[in-house]
Amino acid sequence: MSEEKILEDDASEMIAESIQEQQELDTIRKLENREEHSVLEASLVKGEPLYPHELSRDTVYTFYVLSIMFYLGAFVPPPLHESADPTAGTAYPPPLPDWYLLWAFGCLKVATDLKIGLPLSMIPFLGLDDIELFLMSAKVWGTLVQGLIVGLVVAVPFIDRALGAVIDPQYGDVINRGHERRPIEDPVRAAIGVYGIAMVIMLSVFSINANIALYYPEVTTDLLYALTLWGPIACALITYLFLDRRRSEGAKPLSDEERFDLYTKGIQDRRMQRIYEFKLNRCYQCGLCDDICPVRDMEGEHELNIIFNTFQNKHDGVALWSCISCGMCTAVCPQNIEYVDYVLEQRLLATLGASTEGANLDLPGTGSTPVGGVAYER
Amino acid sequence: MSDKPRQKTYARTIPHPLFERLIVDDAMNKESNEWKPERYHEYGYFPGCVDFMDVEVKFTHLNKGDADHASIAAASIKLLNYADIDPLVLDMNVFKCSGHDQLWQGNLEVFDALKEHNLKRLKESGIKIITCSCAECYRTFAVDYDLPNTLGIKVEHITQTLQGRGLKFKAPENVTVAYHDPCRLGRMMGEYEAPRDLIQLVDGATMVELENNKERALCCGVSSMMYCNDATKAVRRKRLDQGTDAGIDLMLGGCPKCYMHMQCMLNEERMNPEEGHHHDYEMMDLMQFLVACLEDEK
Repeated sequence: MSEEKILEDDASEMIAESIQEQQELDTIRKLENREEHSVLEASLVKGEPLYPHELSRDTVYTFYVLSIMFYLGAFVPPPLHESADPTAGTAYPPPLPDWYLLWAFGCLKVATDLKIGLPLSMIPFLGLDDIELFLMSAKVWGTLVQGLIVGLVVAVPFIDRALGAVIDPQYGDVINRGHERRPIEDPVRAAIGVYGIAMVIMLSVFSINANIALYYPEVTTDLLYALTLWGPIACALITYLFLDRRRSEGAKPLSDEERFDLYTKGIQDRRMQRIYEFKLNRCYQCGLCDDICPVRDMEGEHELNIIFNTFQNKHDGVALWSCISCGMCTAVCPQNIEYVDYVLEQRLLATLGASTEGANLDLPGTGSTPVGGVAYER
Repeated sequence: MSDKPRQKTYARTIPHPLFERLIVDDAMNKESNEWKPERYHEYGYFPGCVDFMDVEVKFTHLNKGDADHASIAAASIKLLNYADIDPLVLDMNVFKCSGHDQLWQGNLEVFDALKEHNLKRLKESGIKIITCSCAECYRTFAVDYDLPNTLGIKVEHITQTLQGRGLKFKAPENVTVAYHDPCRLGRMMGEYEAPRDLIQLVDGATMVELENNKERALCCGVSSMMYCNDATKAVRRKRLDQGTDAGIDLMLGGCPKCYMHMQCMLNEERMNPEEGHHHDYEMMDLMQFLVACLEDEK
């Protein structure tokens, strides 16, 4: 008995070890692939096809869930209460929908019948009576308003830029470039948004007026109606006035130069020194330059990976000075980023303020300074 | 340990060859006299630092090359004369190195000194077009000096000057040649066709393209004289192997540095046959090749 147990333990240990080895191998393989992101290799990688892999898998899952539901519906019926009594009196306070549907309930409650009164008796000599044109009942109107609100929210992505182009044509190419998103730069849209939020909240509050009146009799329906009508408008006005005042105080949108200054001076961690590094941001990292770099090809799969080092913000030391500035990276770059010019700039920056004293005919290694001694003033 | 902060001595961090040090010494010597050419020349020919290069090649034991750079300058002048151009030779007696290597080594102070001197001399010379047989000088004058916009001097590579002038050449024997694009002339200045057109003019020379050509041309490995180590030698050997694959007799370059280093590599391989690397052809500068193919001596 004890021998069998020991054998079992050994087997489980061996299985665990083999699994761990496999995981380590997988990790190493992934790391290696990350270094060798060749374009040609990437094109050979293919995903799983839709048919039959994904289709069969989804079918199995669907039937699995369906069978569970069938089992539950057939053998575990829901606990039902007693049947409803249609002759019972209306409950007070009335039952309410879930909280996230209160605004729709509020729409139905706020709506009144739409009528237009035509004072025909004002016209002399005809002897006509007043007519009231009945346009829409409160039920229809309240239901339509819900659809209108949802439709507006859905329509925002489609009409937002078109409206922007109409509202502020001096802003520029709003259709293609979009408009400012920060509230302080666009108080009108911010006010509209605040109006919508306040309106939804007030509609929700209005919909439970009977329940409120049960506990606070002084909050009448008329008061709530007035709040629902004017409250959101007041909120929007306050928002607009506040943001517009902030904007006039000097919180203006940043220009490109100001934004660059912010990056260079404000954010120290980025070490963005020159406008050229700003231009490097055009790179979408296709890796063509890295593939064709002769230095990386010949030596230093890891250490002298010049371009990779640059994007890791390690563009100094051996990697920077190993670039032979042949310009192959620029020749293949789809974005025409002049990488060699960047290397030139970085070299000039690295030796900025250095002296040429003693650089003439001294043999390397002699004198007080050893070869390779570079002291940076940082 | 002294309390004084250590002075930055970047210049020693880069393995400067002898001739780079001579150039730095030359650049820091700010004495200069008035100079005026004897007569008016439209064209100026800038041979570059070929004299210093010869010093490097012949008097240091570090390399195996025996390239004759002065013959590039002589050949260029001869070809310019053959094309009925009378150039003013802007040699090292009055001019200084263009400063390409110093700039790319980050040696901005030396480069500025060289640029200041050369701009002063260029103003005094009164030339309209400057032509260089060195691709690096060509790029430096055109881009870093920005001569067309500052002094109104047009900058040309010598292949562009000789192109389209009705020259005729005849090779002494039938040869297969390949053109090695220098990175400064090709990728940085976009000139691929002018040297090829010149080679096509040579009767008896068959031009083949190496496996990597034009935009994808491999580098000789030592632009701006940064290093000559195993990595750059491997780059060069890869390029030379492509020449062997193409079955050429001559590889032609448009830049003295390519010529110098390729030729040094070929010599080194011949000296050490036990290493097993052998390339059965010669490296020449395009100007040397063309002057050897001149039909009649003028």
